[in-house]
Amino acid sequence: MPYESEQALFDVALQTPFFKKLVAGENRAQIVEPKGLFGIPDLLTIHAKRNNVNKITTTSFEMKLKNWKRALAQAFKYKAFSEFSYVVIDHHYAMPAIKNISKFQLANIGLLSIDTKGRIYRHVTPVKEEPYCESFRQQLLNLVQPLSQS
Amino acid sequence: MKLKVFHQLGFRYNWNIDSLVDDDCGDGLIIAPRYMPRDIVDKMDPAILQASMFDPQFFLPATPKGKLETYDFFPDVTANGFETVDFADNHASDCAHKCIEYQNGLGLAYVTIPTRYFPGTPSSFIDQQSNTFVNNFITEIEKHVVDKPVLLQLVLNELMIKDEDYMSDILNWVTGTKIDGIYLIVERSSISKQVKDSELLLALLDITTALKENGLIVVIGYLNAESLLLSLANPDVVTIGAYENMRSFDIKVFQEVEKTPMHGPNPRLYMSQLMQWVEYPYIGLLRKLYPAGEIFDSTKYRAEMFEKTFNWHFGKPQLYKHHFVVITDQLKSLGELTGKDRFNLFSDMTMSAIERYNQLSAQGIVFDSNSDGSHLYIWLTVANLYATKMGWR
Repeated sequence: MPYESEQALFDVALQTPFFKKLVAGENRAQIVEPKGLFGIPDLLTIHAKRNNVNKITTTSFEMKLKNWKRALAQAFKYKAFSEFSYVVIDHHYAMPAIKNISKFQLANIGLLSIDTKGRIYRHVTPVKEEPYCESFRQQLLNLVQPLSQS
Repeated sequence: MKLKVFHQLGFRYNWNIDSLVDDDCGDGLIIAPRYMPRDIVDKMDPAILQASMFDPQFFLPATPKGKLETYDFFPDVTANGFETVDFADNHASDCAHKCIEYQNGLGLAYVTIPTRYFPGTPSSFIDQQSNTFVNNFITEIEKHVVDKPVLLQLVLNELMIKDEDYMSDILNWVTGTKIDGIYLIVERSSISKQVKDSELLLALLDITTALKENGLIVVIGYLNAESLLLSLANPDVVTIGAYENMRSFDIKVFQEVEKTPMHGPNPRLYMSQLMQWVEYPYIGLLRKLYPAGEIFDSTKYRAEMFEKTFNWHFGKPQLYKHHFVVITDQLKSLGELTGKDRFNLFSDMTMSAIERYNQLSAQGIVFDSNSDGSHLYIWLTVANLYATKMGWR
């Protein structure tokens, strides 16, 4: 059964162990739809180093019901400021994206699909990469600075 | 006759004038009273004026936006408050007289008859244009000694252009009017950065061809990189512009609107090898992939932009001055050829750009729809269809 809306997919995704693990615990935080960056990810998770809160690793997520091409282009923009970037798509409509898995691998963009029961399917796991745009990375650091100091 | 490139002036008109004078980029200007007060225009170098034209910008005659109020012939100023019927009866002749006298006095390359902006497809389009401005201007031109070609401005929207009957009526009207040419402005409804509407592009090529076949001069204003494609129909003048609203006509620029805080667009760099403006965060990535810089166009502005200390911002002149030089070179290359040869060069340029995009895709770069090459397939298809009609293939 497909999701009725992106919001429903987003809500279910955040309840899954995968996402809970990303944001739970010390030195971890999340921002929903952070503005002022290169595109607006649906979710940005931040993980600061325990001994140095200024050293952070971020992961951006673009959640879509089915338009994988658009999602891939958006997720690629997030690599301008994030170490990891993922597309999360409704599992019901995941086949076209899975058929194009090489495009995700080539671009080093993660691909997850999620069904309405909250089961996550990992198709591509990206490797850590330096963000490609210094100025947007700096903008992100400015954005998360208050979080890392709290 | 060779293809000329005019700067469409706007908010930062000095950048265009600098480009024309300092970089010898382009052939002339389209002067914009919306942005340029009369005393500034009056003091312009006569040599520049001789190669340029003045757009009276009467699109919304009741709204003297910006510097338009400094011109005593602007309809709302002339009539001390514009109302269509009162204006036609009592002020249209005076307005036309002053405007023609002014343009004549500047010694421009062309004299322009202004027209109004209309949304949709009003059935009275021709009558309203004729009664408000066109007839009075033609009468005034006959009275004055106007020895420069006279252009009639036409602001057309997509609905008008795609409606064959509507367009046919307009073409019949303009080809039967005592003018030497058309200054064509197209209002698009799509917000995509490049024109990707094949029906619109093909119609524009056909309209330009029809006008040229009737012996008219054709100036096409407010163009982005689709000027490269439209050059196939052999217009006399195409335009280059700085900010996006000089590369795509937007009536809002002439409307009184409440000021709201606006977030400026991300800066973009025009790349001739991609025939596209690419959003700047991708540029760093491309520089890593091509450290020798062979994918970028070489100008003095590129050198400045690639300095480590350069602060990328859409308000920086280097972005636009670079664009002016690069696209003018492309247009001039096309303009040196005619007919089939021009089409062949355009095809080669477009195919090379598609190939470049393919190379970048193979290296894992994914552009969004406003930086990618999706327009190129449409342009190539339109060029091929047009070339078939013209018997070039």
